[in-house]
Amino acid sequence: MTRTLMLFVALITSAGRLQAQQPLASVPGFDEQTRVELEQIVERTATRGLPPQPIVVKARFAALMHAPGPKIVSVARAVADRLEVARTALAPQPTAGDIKAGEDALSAGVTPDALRLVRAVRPDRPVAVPLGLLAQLVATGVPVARASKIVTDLMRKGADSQQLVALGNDVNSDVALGERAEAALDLRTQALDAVLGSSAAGAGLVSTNTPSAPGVDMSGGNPVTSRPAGRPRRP
Amino acid sequence: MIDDKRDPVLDAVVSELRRTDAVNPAVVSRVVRAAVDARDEDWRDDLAPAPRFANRWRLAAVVLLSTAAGVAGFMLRGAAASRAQGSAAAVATAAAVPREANGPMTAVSASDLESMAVPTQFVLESRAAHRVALVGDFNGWNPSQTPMARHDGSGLWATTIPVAPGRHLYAFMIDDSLFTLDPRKPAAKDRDIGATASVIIVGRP
Repeated sequence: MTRTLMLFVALITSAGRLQAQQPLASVPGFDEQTRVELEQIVERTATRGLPPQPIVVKARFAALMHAPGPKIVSVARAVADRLEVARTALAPQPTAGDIKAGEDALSAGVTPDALRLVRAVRPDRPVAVPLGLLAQLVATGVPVARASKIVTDLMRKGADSQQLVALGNDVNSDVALGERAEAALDLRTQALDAVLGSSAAGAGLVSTNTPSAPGVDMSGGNPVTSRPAGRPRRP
Repeated sequence: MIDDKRDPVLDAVVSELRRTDAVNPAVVSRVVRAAVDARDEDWRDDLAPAPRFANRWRLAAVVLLSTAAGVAGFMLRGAAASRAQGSAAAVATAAAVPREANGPMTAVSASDLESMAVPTQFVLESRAAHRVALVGDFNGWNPSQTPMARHDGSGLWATTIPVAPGRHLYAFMIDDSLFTLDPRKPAAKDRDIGATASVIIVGRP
């Protein structure tokens, strides 16, 4: 009976491992050595309780870009290391999505301290969107310290996910038209500040220094422009 | 009406049978006991299959157990992966099924809602393309995962898929070989690989 149970457990474990390795097995562009090393990295990452998907995804991207095997392996190792850093910075209970977003932000140049700031503002809710905005701002050329201050300030004022996404899109559009990233961010943040100021006043919120938990905006469209314009908030 | 004339053949058989030697009671007793023992043996054999059948049963049990374990392993792993990834397919399926068909309604926290994938449309204009596929970190950069459909008679190719909230890199693969950025979206360089891809930030409305 004991042997049967052990066999059952072993089969379940190996089936799970087999499935975890399938994404790698089905990818053209990995030689055998690369595949073996990637599977080891994925296995170690999963063993440490980290989501291994970002490693597989990055390896597949590298393969699609015809990166050589050793490069793919080194990239996978870097992702695995960043996943660990992101989990620590986003403690105590980051979701897989948070860790993945944290890893992406780190890869874009965001610092672990900036991740901690974001987590401190929103300790018990997903932070994938603010981290995504932060990563994109830094990737566009905004200094990390400035980008993280603006993003965390907006979060404290109650900016919801869609408002943060709209801010990122607006900044991107301005940059695409030739504007400097930092200047575009300042300009667009003023507009969002005004909206958040009027929302806070309408809801009877006086302090803008405490973290809030805004509800989901179901109005659709661009929140910055679709919400009623209010009196600009004084600095 | 009974025929009084008896059949001589029948008479001969009867007389022959009547001349059978007396049976030794001891012999009868041994024969009966042997028969009973033999029947008991058959009965036990019926209850306990012969060794070769026992082996077959054991083999069948192991095969069944292995299959069950394999299925369970895949299901457990798949469920965990889906939960961890916020599986786009699962979300798409759930979104497509009427609420009544999903069984009892359960409370969804704000955190869960924020993590749910958002239907996102991707569009590319290319009149020369014969095939266009969407590739990105949300589909594992797999060119066969998300083919795009050509809009009637135009050069517009589009697809709408659920994408998890956050920042994503993506591109289009034209005719299975040409890696093309989205001209409508900003691009970012992946610092690990050195390749440039389009960027989209998805947020829950």
